[in-house]
Amino acid sequence: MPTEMSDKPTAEFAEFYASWFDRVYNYARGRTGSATRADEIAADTFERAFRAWGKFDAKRGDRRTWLFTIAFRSVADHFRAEKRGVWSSLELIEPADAAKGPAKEAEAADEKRLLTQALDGLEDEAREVVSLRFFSGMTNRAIGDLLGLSESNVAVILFRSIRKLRKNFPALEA
Amino acid sequence: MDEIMEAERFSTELDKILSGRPVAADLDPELAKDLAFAAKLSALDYSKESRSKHPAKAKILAKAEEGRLRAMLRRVGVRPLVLAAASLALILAPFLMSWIASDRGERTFLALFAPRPTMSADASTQGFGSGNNYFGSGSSPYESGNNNIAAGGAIGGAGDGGLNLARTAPAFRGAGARAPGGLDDAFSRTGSALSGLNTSASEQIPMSAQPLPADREGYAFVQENPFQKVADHPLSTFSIDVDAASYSNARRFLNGGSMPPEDAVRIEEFINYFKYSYPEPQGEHPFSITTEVAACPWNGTHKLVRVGLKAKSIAKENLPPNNLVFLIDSSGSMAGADRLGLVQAGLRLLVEQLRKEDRISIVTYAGSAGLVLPSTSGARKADILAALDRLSAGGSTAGGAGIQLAYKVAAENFIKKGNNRVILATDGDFNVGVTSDGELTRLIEEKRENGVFLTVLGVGTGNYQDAKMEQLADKGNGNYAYLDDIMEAQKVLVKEMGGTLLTLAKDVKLQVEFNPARVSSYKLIGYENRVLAAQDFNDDKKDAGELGAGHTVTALYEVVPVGAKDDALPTVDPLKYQAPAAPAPGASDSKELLTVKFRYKKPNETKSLLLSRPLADEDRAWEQASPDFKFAASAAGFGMMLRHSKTKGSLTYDEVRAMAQEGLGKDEDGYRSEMVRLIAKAKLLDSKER
Repeated sequence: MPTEMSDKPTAEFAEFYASWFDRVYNYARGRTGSATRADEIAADTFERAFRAWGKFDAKRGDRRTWLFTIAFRSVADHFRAEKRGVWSSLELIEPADAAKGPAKEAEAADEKRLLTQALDGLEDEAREVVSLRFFSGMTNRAIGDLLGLSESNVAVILFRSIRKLRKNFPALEA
Repeated sequence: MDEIMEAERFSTELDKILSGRPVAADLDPELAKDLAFAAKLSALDYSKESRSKHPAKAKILAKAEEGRLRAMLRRVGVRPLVLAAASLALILAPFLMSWIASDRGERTFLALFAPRPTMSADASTQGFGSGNNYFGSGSSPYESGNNNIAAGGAIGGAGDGGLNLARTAPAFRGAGARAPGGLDDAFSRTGSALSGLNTSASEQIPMSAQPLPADREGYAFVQENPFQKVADHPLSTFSIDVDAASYSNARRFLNGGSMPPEDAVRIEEFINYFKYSYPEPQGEHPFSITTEVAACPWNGTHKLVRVGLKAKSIAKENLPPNNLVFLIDSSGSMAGADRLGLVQAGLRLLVEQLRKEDRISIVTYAGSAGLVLPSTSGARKADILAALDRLSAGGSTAGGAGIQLAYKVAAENFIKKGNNRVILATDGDFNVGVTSDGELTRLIEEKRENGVFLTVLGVGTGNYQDAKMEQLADKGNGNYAYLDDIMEAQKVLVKEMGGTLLTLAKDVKLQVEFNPARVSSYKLIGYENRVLAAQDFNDDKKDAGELGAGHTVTALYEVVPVGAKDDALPTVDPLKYQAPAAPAPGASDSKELLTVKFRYKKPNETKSLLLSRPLADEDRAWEQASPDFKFAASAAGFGMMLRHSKTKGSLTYDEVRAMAQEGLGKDEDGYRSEMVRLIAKAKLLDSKER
């Protein structure tokens, strides 16, 4: 409960929100493969971040790491809720037919679809590392701290994931 | 060891890419390819798909503001009053407190005491999420909304393109902007005049201009009914279905410039979207039965049979009192004028119809799960409308026990002999706070036995869960409608309110017995997921569809007469151990093609009643069929075209369209002419038909 909040943190937060929302959304989207879930997780992350706004300690890391630690936990909570079966929706169903725009647009859409599919195929830990690395922009060290891995461990997971994806999706090489 | 070094090298170079610096020149070619791939990954941006970005922010900031001001209230609330006029305060305290506790009082208080209220900016953003603004900036959103509807109706009456214009106007329908150039351009341009009603809030957040993600829409697989030989299957049994969601959902696709998925087309819902002029029931039963037969328009040697039911119409003032609980999904995915905004607009129309004996409650489930409006008389429209307007989408789904709460509220305000109903409005991707689909179904079934029924209103694109919502409504003895725009909301919630909300007959089953001397085989058109086993007909424990006040239900059979050239069905060898069933004495002399039998229960009874009606063939040509029959056949034909049905014969879009035009009748609402236009659209969009 932000009882003693002055106007300033609110304005600060609004700015922070504007500059970070997309990244958090992309991270959650990459991590879960669902737009709906990404929306819920991103909104949840910022609600939590706002409640904890005053608790942020610059000595212990930057805002980015702080925010993505919260996002990471929100994702974990969502997955836990799903395992308990609280999320009551039907299985994910592939979109029937992507919009058929001009060739170039279609190609870009196609590439995005393939990349998304590639992400979907990664195993859980690799998917977490790749999502954090590419969407949050956190360093290997920060990711390692968050996941309890060594820095070089993170580097190897990343490297193997990329090699695997390249092998599985030769169409994306060009 | 090598791999670790390679991996670390990769990470070092990746850091450069992510921070926009050039990579090293002397890279191993494989590593360069890795990095090129990584660059593609890092460039992935999904954020345009987000629906909660703006509403969630507004919500968080509004909450913060609320917390800050509440704290301030506590501080100012004591000192001056106690010191200056303790006695006065004692007298005034109860009034003051209730005033502050009320929302309006609090806002006024805040306006007076907040030093620099940042609320106004946030409130406008939130207002967009709640769908107010697109009705104009007037102080009475309902009234201005009403004007728009009247305008839409007038245009619709004026003729060509009218309804589509209203549908495509972004102000009414977020998906309008998705229509690709060409087909809808003319409508969109005109439509933008309407969207000019949008306030500045929509310019800041061009939500309706965003492409909608077709993220995950769920449709159950539909296997079309086959032709059945009368010798093997003399009985055809199914449950009625009055839903029409499939038609409005398909319309959403066609107006958006794409063909609907084949499984999204349920032919019986196409037929039943339209009203047919069946006679009002006379006598003890709550519905009338109409039958008709003529040559089949898409296969001259076959016959088409129509069976129609009409439930008694009940004037609004004679409807029993309603106890309605709106259960509204207000999670982040519901943001936008085509979702929560549309639900609010539609329910506003419904609220205007309420009488003082009706009671309304509102429950939401999302971050702010809970009772938004305790049960309130329909006479207090302003309070209900204000509560509706306050809803905003955003935040995570809290997993609150939304549906349990809704049923609890319904039970607490239960009206004996009234219409007790939970109305669930959602895009279907909802978190209902029970642990599994099975448990949810059981809950709904249990409440149904207690007399609380369920109506499901579906909205939105992208994560619209058609199959699930239909199933939920079926379990709850309810009905299910898809709202694609405000016109549809008006049709479902105002024009057909009696039927949507009041059940006259439940577990209505239909069984047709064919005369083997006249009919060699038959096919039930549509109703695929409603087919029952023959023995279920007499089994009162088997659940079936409901009929609401004023509802009409139509079923069509394509029938192959004995002696017709019938190459559709493969035959089996004659049986060795039993003689083929012979027609009963007299069957050959009878002109009767078939006998239709109905079973239904009165809403509060458990034993079913039986009716039956034979149908004789009069050898009528298709040209002699009634306009209603022609239109029903064209709706079925349209569905068959969209499904690319194997049994459609040589049917074309042009023939379907001609049939629909012959069957237009008076078409007071313009719904039938709209289908004629949709058929023309589908013809242009359907690549398989070219």
